[in-house]
Amino acid sequence: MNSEQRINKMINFRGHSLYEILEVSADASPYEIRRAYQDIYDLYAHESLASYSFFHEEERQELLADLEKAYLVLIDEGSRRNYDQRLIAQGLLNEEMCYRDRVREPVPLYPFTRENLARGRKQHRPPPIDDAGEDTTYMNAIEPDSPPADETAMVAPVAGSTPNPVRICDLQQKEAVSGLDLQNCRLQAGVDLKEIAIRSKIKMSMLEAMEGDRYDLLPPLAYLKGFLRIYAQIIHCDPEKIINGYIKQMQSVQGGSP
Amino acid sequence: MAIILPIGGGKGGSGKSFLSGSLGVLLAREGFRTLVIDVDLGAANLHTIIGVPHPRLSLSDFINKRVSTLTDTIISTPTPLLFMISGAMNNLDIANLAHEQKIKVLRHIVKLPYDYILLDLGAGTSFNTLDFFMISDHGIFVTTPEPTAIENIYRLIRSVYFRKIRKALDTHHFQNLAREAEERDPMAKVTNPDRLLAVVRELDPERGEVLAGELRSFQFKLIVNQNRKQDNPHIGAMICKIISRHLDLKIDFLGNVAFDDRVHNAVCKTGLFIDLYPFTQTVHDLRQCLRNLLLNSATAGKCDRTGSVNEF
Repeated sequence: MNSEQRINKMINFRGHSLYEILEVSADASPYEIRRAYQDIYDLYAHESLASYSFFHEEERQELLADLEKAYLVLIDEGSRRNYDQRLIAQGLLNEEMCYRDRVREPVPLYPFTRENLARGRKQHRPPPIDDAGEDTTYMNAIEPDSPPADETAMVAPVAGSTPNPVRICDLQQKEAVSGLDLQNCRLQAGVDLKEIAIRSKIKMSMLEAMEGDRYDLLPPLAYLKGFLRIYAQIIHCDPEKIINGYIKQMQSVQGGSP
Repeated sequence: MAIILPIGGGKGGSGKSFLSGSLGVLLAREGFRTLVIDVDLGAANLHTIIGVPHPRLSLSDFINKRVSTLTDTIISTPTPLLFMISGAMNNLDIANLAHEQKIKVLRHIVKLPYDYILLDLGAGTSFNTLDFFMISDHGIFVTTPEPTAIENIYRLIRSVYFRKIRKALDTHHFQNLAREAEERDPMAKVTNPDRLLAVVRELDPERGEVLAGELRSFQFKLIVNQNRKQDNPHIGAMICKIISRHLDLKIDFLGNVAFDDRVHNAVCKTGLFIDLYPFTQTVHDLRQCLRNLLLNSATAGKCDRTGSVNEF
């Protein structure tokens, strides 16, 4: 019965997907993956009490190496996408089950469904943000008359359940974005400048300067970018497009010097 | 048919007897007819812990044929509904019990009419200990949160598990199948249940299912005893996770039992810790473990296939 006493040759992670190794689902966010890695690492670490004497030293090294590899592949956006593609090609993973970084998708503003239209609009408030929140859980959490919500609430993700998000203005074609374009977008969204000032805590005069193309009144570039980002988020436009377009326009007017 | 719970732990002093006694008392107070048997044959202590300092009869009376049946060795304890078979005053050579005698004892144990039978086993992974684990699908493993105890508990769990698989192969006359599997894939050994099962399923799906059913029927449980405040309370869950990931064995964590200096006092007074210090964390933890245990055996079904002892 010698073999019974002998520590068995370990079953390693071979044959398991990287998701199984870390015990996360295929649509886990990077945050979840980091947490899972920390937890599992605690099990296998050299100083771990839980797995004391369970593995030979080589086995432990091998397991830790596999674990680290799994983590490094899944935590990097590009390599994770490649890995997912490989799994999909092998038929092991469904496209819909993959993780998508939904935070960066533009928020649908007008869900033109019958029930939403039938429900009518509230009188005391500019409608868009409130109504857009119909299918988003986070928007409902904001009290109508509460002080300006903090920034994280504004950039919070939206469940991608609404098909065909309607965007207020398609900036796809526009290379450069002027203050007037900003204003048009805002008006289309039905957002008052005052509301932006309240929610973003940016001064009214600054917002007016941004919309009026008064480049001499604008703050240094770093601040301007931040302002534009918040502005874009409130009117539900793609922040990157607005920032890049606005700065391009500004630089072309000022003759290439920032 | 009684639910038989062998209680073992690799290391001496990890509290096997204390837990057997305490769980036995708590089970009896829940209204179950409970029997505790001290099968730590060379070093029996259990009688002292449950408050019977001088038992009249013991297991060796049955083994040496001084009494005719095992039932005659059962003595009552101060706790109603709790009965015990003591190991006290065993003959000095009883620690090396002959195989036939052991089988005889095991056969008699499974026939005893009780709700729960707890077996307090000795430390280590000797055949004496392992064979008592073969009596039932259940098994409670006791460890303390120390590397020494954890090292031993892993050894014990592995030994019991592999021995059970071997026994399962034997009872179904699968030895040829297992040999065939190993020829096909040298990794498919008893010590590598995952692989063995996969190869057996490939060779013979029907018998593969039988074997898989056998492996699933094991109901192992873990208790982390003497858990001090500064210890990691999740260590038990982590141990279970390691085992389920790498041995393909489901093991339930019943809970931590807090360390208490006063256990020593209770043992010195030969009184029940549960009665002397009823409002301590330790007693609370013991009750919690019992609740988890009852919950566990209720959900896991009552298919206790103890009849297979005959096939030793």
